[in-house]
Amino acid sequence: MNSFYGKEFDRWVKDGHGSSNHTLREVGLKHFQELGFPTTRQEEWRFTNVSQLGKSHYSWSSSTKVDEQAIQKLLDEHRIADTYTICMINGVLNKNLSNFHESIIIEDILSANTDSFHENSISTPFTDWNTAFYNSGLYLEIPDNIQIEKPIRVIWINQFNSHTEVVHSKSHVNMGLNSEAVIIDHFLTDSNYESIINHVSGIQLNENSQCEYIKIQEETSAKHFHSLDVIQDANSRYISTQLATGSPLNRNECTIIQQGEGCDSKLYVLGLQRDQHHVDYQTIIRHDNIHGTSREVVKNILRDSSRAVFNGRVIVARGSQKTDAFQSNKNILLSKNARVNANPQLEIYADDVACSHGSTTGELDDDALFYLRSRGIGLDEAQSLMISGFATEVIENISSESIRDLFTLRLENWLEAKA
Amino acid sequence: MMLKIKNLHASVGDKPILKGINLEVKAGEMHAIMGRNGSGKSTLTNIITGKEGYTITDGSIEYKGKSILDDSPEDRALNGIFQSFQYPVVIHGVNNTYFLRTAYNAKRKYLGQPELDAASFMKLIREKMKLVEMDRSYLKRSVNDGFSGGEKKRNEILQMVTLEPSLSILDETDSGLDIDALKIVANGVNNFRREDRSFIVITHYQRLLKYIEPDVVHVLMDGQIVKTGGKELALALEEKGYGWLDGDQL
Ligand SMILES: Nc1ncnc2c1ncn2[C@@H]1O[C@H](COP(=O)(O)OP(=O)(O)OP(=O)(O)O)[C@@H](O)[C@H]1O
Ligand SMILES: [Mg+2]
Repeated sequence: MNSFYGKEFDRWVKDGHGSSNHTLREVGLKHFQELGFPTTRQEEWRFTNVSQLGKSHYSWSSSTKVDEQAIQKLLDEHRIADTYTICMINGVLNKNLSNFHESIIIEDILSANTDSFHENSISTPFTDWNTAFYNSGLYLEIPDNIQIEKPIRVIWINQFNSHTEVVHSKSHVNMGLNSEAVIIDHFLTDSNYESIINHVSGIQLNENSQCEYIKIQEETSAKHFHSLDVIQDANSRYISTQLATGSPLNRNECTIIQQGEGCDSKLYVLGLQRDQHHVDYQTIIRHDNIHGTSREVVKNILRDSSRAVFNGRVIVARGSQKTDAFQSNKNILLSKNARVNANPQLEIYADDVACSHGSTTGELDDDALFYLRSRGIGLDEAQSLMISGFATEVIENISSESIRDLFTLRLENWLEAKA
Repeated sequence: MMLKIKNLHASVGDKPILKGINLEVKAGEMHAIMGRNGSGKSTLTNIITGKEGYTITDGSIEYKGKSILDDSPEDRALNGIFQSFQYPVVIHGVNNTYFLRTAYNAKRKYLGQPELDAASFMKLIREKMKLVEMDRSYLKRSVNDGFSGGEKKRNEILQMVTLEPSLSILDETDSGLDIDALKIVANGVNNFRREDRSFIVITHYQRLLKYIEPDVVHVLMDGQIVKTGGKELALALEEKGYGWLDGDQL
């Protein structure tokens, strides 16, 4: 592995890439080569086995090989009314396919200096790998005091030409003072290759800003790795709703840091898993200041032999008084072969706080099913009704009706595809 | 004959609970079943409405002349059997109106009638809600979610008057109701009475039977009906307690 990625890096640099931040990239490469892909002996990777990845050589997928017609088709199929569109093809901004409000600042991430942002987060082999090879990316800024009403949808389309390609994409959102926006990361692909998407992103919320962040992951055959750092200044509000409709491997590492006082963080996740799909949410919510509130609800519905992993930490730092934190993880198993590994954790180092958490995993409640059936509702419909009800607690938090409808539609599709 | 139960024996696991029930309910009749905690009243109700988890070891249940033992709960409901639950279940995230409409339309579909759209159903359900004096705000909430004990029971009766079953089994619908609510629920039931509709009212209190007058009163003890009589039986029970019947049995 060492030699392959080293040579790959040299070849890539020779092709004229990676001229910016060269030192940082070399450090990233070095780390990645030293650590290699994680093994299940590492605590954070105990239930998500990626050791297979070391057996293949993943080469950088270039954005020049894209099929524009196919992309247009994909965009047409996934239109959402009343949204701005920013189109990223294999990690590179495509201005022609984008349209957005003029007060939104969009740049290539290489020209915006965002490197210091991830300084405090723990690097992983995947983020190191990304640091070495990311070649472009999105910098999005909502200037101070600007409120953007329409949701801004960033569509990440990745096209692959083989099973052993990887796209290292990157984005950074900067929410100015008192600014407000709804930002959607929508991951799509039309390829059936089992390639890798290795995404690193950051969201900076300056004082009193509000960001509703929505993530929709719909790559059905690619492996998806995403590391997201959110940093909140005083009185900022972060409301995130995420949908994962299933892929062979979907690993999400999300760290939210409440740096300023009076921050509010919300994280709602809905995972719809089937076949051999595997979803893994590693979340950290750090209350580093006083008067912070957080609410985390992670829900999975699993069929067939799918699996969900949840490792959620809520950390209340010393002195972070008047913190109010709630964490809940709920899983419904619709098959005997589906599995869940949940590990919700509260780490509290302050005394004047209100924190609670819990995790449940089980089948649909028999009494509730009987109640519905005793009213003449058939078994299948009763089950669907209960599953939709379970998902509602996530979906209802989305402010935009068209996005809510999309979530509901995906849920319905998922329910219908049962047979 | 609306309901005919013959020598019904049922157990949960190895534990026999019903030990030879015989019960006949004719169309238009109002029956009351009383009996100690744990005597098997809810078990009988659940078995009639098709809940899983019980083994029927002997006997038969016929509804309108046909055995229903092989029918699914939804088929029994569509055929007109209804249970008002002793403990109505909370279903998070499922909107009460949507639930009611789904149930109502399931019945329409079964009867070969076109389904009602949201607006028409809304009109219908508002009329029905007047019958049980329920506030509209309950329509917006999840099924029984955050409903008080009494509100849940009213929601059960709302479902009954909406789905219009032929056989309604009300399992302790009066428990947890204040005096005003009791009158409202009793009124709802009385107005719903018709010669082609039958009722089995399970209760611990004679109080309810003052408002809903039963034709027949049964006493269930340890999985058997040990005494059957007119409404005066309920009064006697209230006065003397079940010990009186224990003596009877000896
Ligand atoms: N699923 C079950 N598993 C084990 N025992 C059960 C089960 N269901 C009922 N029983 C037992 O059967 C007996 C009858 O219960 P049931 O609920 O029918 O009583 P009831 O007459 O409705 O009492 P109450 O007046 O308290 O509502 C009780 O002893 C109860 O513990
Ligand atoms: Mg009972």
